[in-house]
Amino acid sequence: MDTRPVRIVEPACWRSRLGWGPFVGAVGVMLIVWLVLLPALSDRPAFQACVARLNAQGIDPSAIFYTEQAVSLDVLATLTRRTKRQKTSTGSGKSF
Amino acid sequence: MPDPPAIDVADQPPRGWSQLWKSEDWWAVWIGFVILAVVCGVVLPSVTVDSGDAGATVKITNPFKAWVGQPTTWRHSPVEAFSNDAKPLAYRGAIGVFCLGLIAFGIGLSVMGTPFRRFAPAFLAVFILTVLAFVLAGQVWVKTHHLSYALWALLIGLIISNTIGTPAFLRPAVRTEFYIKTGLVLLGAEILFGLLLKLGVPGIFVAWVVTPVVLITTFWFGQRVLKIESKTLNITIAADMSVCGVSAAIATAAACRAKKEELTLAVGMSLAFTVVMMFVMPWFIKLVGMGQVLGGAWMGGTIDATGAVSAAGEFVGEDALKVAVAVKMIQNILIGVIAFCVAIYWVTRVERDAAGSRPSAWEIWHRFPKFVIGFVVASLVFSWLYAGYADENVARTVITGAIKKDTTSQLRGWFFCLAFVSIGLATNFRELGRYFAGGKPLILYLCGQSLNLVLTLFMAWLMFVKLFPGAMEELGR
Repeated sequence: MDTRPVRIVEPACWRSRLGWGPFVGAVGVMLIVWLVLLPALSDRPAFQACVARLNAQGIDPSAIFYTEQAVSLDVLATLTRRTKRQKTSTGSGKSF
Repeated sequence: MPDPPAIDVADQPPRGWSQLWKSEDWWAVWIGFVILAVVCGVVLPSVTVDSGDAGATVKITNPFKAWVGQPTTWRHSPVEAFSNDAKPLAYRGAIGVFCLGLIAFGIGLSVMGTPFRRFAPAFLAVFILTVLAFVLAGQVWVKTHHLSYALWALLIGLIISNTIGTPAFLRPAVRTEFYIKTGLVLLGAEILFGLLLKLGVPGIFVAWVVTPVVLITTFWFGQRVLKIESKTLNITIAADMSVCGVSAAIATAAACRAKKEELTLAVGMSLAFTVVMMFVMPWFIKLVGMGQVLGGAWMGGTIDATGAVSAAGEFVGEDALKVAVAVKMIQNILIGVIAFCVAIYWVTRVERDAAGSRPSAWEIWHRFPKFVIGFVVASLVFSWLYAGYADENVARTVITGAIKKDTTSQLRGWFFCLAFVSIGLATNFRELGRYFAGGKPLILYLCGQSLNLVLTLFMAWLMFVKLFPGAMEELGR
């Protein structure tokens, strides 16, 4: 039987901190980046053309799994058509 | 005699039948199953199919879609994330998921001993930070560069916890494992084993032979050559690099009970290298004049994240896009197998007692992360549901489209984001630095990814160029 004492372990960061100064600084930097810098970068014509191309294809570059973007469904449809064609040409089995 | 080392309460799940309602693992399973059952119970009966000359037309009523959506993409003002011309009511998703999370996690934690009156205000605050992470990730430039919500959720939590400190009232809702495990049960429903065979032999070899070889070799390299102390860190980096990035890292880390700092490191490295690879690989493929099919298969098997693979494929060409997405999709399914095998390996081999004796079947069951059962069951049930449709186009529209893409994968994203905010809120920069000691995790990632690049290129060339030429051109058309 395990006789070791059980204790609730708190992460160290719940005890140590740098203070409000660095916090306000970090928030300020984020505000400048997201409200000024990134909108300016997003307005460049080359970038807008790239986004338009990705959108047209149903691509979500931030997706972490195939179910999160429309292009996966399109590729699945193509794969299904291919499987169907193969089954028809070999005469094997049922259709979908 | 010195005191024996103390153990974390998190390592002491309740034994016996009470674990069914006293452990986070089982609560994650119940919450995941109830969500999946309710969504299916409402959406599936609403499906009507009209067969016509041009093919079947599917009509679906999905009342959940509007209430689970994540904040949308924005360009100039964050307000666009909640209301814009295309989606004027996008803010409803945040309201719906907050209510669902408050009720589901609140009930679970109440039964497990956390009073609801303490959880509710804490959850509200953590949820607001989660929404903020989605807003940061939704800026169109950020989104296009695959700087996903996981990164911003971690950053927001880290900034708070390491500057002003995580306020005491927030702590009842800082439940990383609970959110991750619930999200993973929902992820299980997205893994359809029927998709496996769609690519045929070449795709299976590229996605399913190279990946386990790279995973096992990288793990071995980390243990034997680099001598990384933490096996959980080693396997989490190996899985995240060889399978599919963030989602594989989450599943593997949960299966082997990796520390939150280890998951943070693995995810951070994966995101950083993904951003580089999604631009460098298409450039290199075009530079050397590599064929689109070979290039697409190479990128699909090596770039960690699904979205980045698609974007990189698009940069090369339409055929490369289709092949890359197809290979990545098949690799995505490997997550289920990897998580299950890692869980089994950990409870039977890694977590042996000090004497090294073989654990009994009961001990294995006790240690086994139960959410993996929910993950596997959800996967099998949805694979069966998908296969049950006579017309696969209808199955794809209903199961993969309406139920998963529009509903459960949105919820899963919310739960993972809650988890990453929680990780940030409970992580210390200095502790994080300790795990990076000597740069070994980075060396492991670099060596593993180099092997992955070489092996995948060789296998893609062997399969798609030498043995089955033309196998994927058909897909590319």
